[in-house]
Amino acid sequence: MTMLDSRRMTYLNCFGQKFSKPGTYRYRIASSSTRGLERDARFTIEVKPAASPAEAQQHDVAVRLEGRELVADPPSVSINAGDLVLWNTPDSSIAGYVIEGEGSGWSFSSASLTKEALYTHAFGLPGTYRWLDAHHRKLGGVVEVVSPKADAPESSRKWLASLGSPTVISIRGEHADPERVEILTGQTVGWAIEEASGISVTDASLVPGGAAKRG
Amino acid sequence: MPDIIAAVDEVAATTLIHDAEATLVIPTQSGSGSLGPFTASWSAGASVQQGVIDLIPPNVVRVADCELHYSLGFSFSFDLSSIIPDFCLPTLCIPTPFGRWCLPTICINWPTITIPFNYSDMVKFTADFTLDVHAVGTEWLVDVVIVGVPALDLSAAAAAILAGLGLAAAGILAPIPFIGLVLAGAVLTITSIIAIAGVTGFLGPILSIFVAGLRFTVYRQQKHFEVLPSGGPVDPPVYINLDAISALVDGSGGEDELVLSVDISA
Repeated sequence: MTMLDSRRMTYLNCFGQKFSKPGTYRYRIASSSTRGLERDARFTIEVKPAASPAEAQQHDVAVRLEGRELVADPPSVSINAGDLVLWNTPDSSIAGYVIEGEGSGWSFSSASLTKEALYTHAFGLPGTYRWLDAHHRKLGGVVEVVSPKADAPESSRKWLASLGSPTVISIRGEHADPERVEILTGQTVGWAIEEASGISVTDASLVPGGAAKRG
Repeated sequence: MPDIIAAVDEVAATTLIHDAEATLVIPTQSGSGSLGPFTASWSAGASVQQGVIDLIPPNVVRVADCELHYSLGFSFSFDLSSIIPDFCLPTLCIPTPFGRWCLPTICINWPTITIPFNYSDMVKFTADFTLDVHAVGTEWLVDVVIVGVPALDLSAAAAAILAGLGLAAAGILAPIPFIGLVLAGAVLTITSIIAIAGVTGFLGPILSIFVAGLRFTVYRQQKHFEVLPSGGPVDPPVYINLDAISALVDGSGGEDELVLSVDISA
């Protein structure tokens, strides 16, 4: 229900991609539950050359279920080079989708994160989460999720306030920084992939032999 | 004037009733009922044991402190969203070397949960039975049949069930993401919504099924039966017919007795 896996996105995840190079990018939303129903890459991101160096704008795209098909809302966006696109679904019944597209000689995917991409996960249960790159298994780390104190109203207020403070793990090559983070239940961790060779962020328990490999 | 009169005192009547209880098979029942505002499906089995017999003229057999042993299994499902408010993670922003990202609000929709629960217990009751003599096929049967539905004191059982439900709910809720700090409140909400009255209202009709119409056969006799066996080839067995049987409680002799009066023919 709350799998940590960029290959199977849920409403607790966001996937973001920065588009630096102008061009037309086409993408699709694939899902294990609707596999075979999705059409070819029919959603588009039109990236125009930036007129002038300006602060990057963020464009949000919602993933929704139409009939039995996952669709992007809006289906096409027009942005400037250097802008950010963020995908997320507000629908908790949608589970296991992946964003994958290509254009201008380059491809992007939430299941295979390469460059200037973001994957976030909101942790709803306490525990020790060992994560790794399911493709190459050379990269990984630990997210320790602890229960907040619930002994007083003040504790609850502090906990609620803490939910607005994310923790960021930077990925560059085969290095995650920091490798180990500790958060409170309900907090969000963002993996900022500066540059990588197509990695996933996956709970080690979902990868055959992964849990043993990462200890 | 009946041909045969047989009488048993309260001690013997107690033995008869307890023997009848032991052989009584009460079918398992199932159905659905209201558990507070929720609906629960259930199945239950029961047996009746013990009891002190008091014979009350002219035709009442009172069984005091009779034990109804029951085993109840039920489950109920409900949408958690209907009892605890949905919870939303606040909007937050993440600075990265390649830009600042702001995530949308993520709202947690609580799921529908099912709580299975088993409970076994015993409740004592006192009930009046009336005598019913009737023929079935080739037999005369003397039954005692409950009069009305006795009141069952279920307060202790209801409290135990409610406490158990709270524990079961906590176990079911704990693995639900983000329920975290509201877990204790959610359990409290569930148990307070159902409440003792809800459990009593659920349990009462179920157990009443097992005692309403409760009937024991305390005496059974063939209508046509052998009173003297064959004495040899020329001495055939002797049979009599029980033409009519009546039963009553008689206290005219100073002691209350269960009296059977029998008319016979050869």
